[in-house]
Amino acid sequence: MQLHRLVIMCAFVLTALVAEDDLQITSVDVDQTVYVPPYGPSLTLSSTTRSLRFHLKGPVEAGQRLRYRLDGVDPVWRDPPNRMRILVNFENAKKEVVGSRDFDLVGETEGWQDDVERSVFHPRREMITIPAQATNATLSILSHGEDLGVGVLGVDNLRVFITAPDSAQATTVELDTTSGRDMETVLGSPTFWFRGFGNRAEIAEVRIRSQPMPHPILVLNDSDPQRYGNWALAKRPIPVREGGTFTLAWDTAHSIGRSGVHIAAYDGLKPGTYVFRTMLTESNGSPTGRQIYLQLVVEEPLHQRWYFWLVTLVLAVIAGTALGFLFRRRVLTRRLEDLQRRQSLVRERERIARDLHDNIGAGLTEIAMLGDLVHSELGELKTTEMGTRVARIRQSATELARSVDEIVWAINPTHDNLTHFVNYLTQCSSQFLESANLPVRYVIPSDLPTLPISGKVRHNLFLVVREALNNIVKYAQPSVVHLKITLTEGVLTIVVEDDGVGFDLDHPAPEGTHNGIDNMRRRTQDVSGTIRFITGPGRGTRIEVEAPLPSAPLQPRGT
Amino acid sequence: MITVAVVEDDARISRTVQEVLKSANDCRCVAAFSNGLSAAEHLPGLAPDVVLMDINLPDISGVECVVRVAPLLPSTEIIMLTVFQDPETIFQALTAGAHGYLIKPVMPARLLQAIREIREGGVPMSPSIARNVIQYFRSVGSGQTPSAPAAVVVPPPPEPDSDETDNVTALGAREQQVVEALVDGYSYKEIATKLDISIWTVATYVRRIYSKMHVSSRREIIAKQGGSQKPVG
Repeated sequence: MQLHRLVIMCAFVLTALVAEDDLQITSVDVDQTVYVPPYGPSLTLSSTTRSLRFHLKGPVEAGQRLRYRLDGVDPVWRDPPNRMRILVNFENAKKEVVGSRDFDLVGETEGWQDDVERSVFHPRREMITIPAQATNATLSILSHGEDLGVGVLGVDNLRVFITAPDSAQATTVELDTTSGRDMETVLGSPTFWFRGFGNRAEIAEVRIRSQPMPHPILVLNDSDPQRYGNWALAKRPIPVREGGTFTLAWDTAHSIGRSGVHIAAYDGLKPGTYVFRTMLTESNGSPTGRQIYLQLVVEEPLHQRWYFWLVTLVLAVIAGTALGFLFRRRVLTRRLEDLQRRQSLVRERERIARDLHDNIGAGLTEIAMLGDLVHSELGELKTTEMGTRVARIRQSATELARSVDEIVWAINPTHDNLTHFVNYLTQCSSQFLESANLPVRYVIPSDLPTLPISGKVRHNLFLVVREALNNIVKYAQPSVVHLKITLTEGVLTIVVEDDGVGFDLDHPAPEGTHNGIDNMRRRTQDVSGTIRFITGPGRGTRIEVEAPLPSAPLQPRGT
Repeated sequence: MITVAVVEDDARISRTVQEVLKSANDCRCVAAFSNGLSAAEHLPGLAPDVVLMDINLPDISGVECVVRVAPLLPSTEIIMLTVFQDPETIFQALTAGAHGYLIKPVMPARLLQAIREIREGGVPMSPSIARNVIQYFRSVGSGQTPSAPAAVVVPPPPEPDSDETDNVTALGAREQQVVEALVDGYSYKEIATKLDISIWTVATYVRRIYSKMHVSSRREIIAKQGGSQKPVG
């Protein structure tokens, strides 16, 4: 009892050990990726998978065949393609081969029943044109010695029909496979056949097929992956004539495959779940019961999965937020850099303004004052040429000092707002017109906003107004000058009007006036503004300057 | 003889101004300072009739200097002297206690004229200063600047008219008229004609306006000092 149990256990362990190695899927190639065991419960493959290669390995020595099947793709089990063949050789009179044809017998025929004798046989018919010089034909039935081929082939009812080249009449040649010695055993020797050139004669067998009446048939039963056997029709050459036809007909049943290794290939699998199976059969195709399988999941393309759009949406929101954040940060960084740049520019402008004022402005002021002092000390000499020259020095220095003052004002960023501009404009114009003894009237809103106005705009507009006032003082002879400033929807309008002599706009009489008008036009255009001259001889002059201002109020700035 | 002190950091201009003063037989230069701090220190002791004060000084600004010395020099006239045509700064100086200003380059004759005029009560107010004055009193009147209780006694200047109030945070009717006319560009002479008063009366109104600004701004400073802050410039 104890011993009995031990034997069973040993057998169990042995089976398990054998089962461990006898059949394997050694690797699965998925496109460029190679998966090796253990594969886990299932192998998940991307939807873009193109090619699948299952490397199968079974035992070689036992003559067991590998079979495989991909459920959902293969309707039946598949054998690795392998063949046995029927070879027809044509010989000339000197027994030299002048042509040959072979007919492959591949895989498993329908109605195969493990034992070839009981299987369904299928008629097959092949026609060959008899090659030149051929006088005889011989036949052999061969199993395969290469590629680890194993399997069983049964050939029955083998016959040949010969037609002469000039005749449609066929001659039937019966290739008797039934009569001979010991024909009831597998080792029987049919009369016209012999176990020919194979390296394992036992492969060629005689079996008794029961249908339609029990009779012997030629069989190749090859369970040796390394060797082969054959049946050769050597004792009965078939006479043939060049140019005629040679038709070979037989009934066949076979199951042919391979042992050892094989690569099962599948391409272009659709998304879904598959089971790849491989099993071992005996050389005749009867299952050994040993079977392994591997589940495969080919994923749905991303956009076909239910959660794809949800995930996409979430990711899009996250990405959008992140991008927005990054963008905003970049904008802020850039704005900061911009601000820093602008501030350093502001400091630079302040420095230049200070230097101009401290050095050139002060020096010119000194020259002007000294010139005036000298001039007044000249007394009676004032009317001499020297007096005139001193007066010119004073005049020149005074004008230059004023110009420097203007430039300092224009470049000093402290003044970059509308309030400063209007204050400066009224300050200068009142001083200038007062010195010319011309009354001035201002119409300026008291609540002008503190809009930013760049040094360029300020300076150009100031110079336009000064040019206008210059012309008035020089030529217009008015009784009063009006200066009007308004701001409407971001457009600054400056009107300079006098009741003087006016002029013909097309032919400004006084020398230089035309040039002054061109200057005013150019300066207005430089600040994207417009200028209008409304005048005529005896009608006074009205000059309207319009310039757009940026509408953002100036930020208060610490000084 | 009018005693004059010069506060000017540019040596060339300071020297020239001194020469101009020397050339006049009714003026005498009693001191010249090249920075604001030494001027603020010594001017109260000197108490000149007129101070010519540059606005851009190396240490404290001319405006700050005025803030410091003006309360201590009730009978000294301060004339701001600047090459920098900057009405806001001039206005600040006028608020702090100055009574006049000159834009450089100023000709010697004009300089001496201004000194003489201010001694006789003549004070200038350009249209742009007048605009600032109106805005100033608008903000003071609306209480935008801190106003102290009426404990500070303001000595009223000589009154040519009786319709003026002593309220330092608002302009009297005549003062308002004068300032508005100045804003519109009218000269003293034109205003005198327009309001049928003398040109000196116009000047007196202007001086009163400046005085109100001084008092008002000083209150402001006191209020700020009460808040433990330093005087502002």
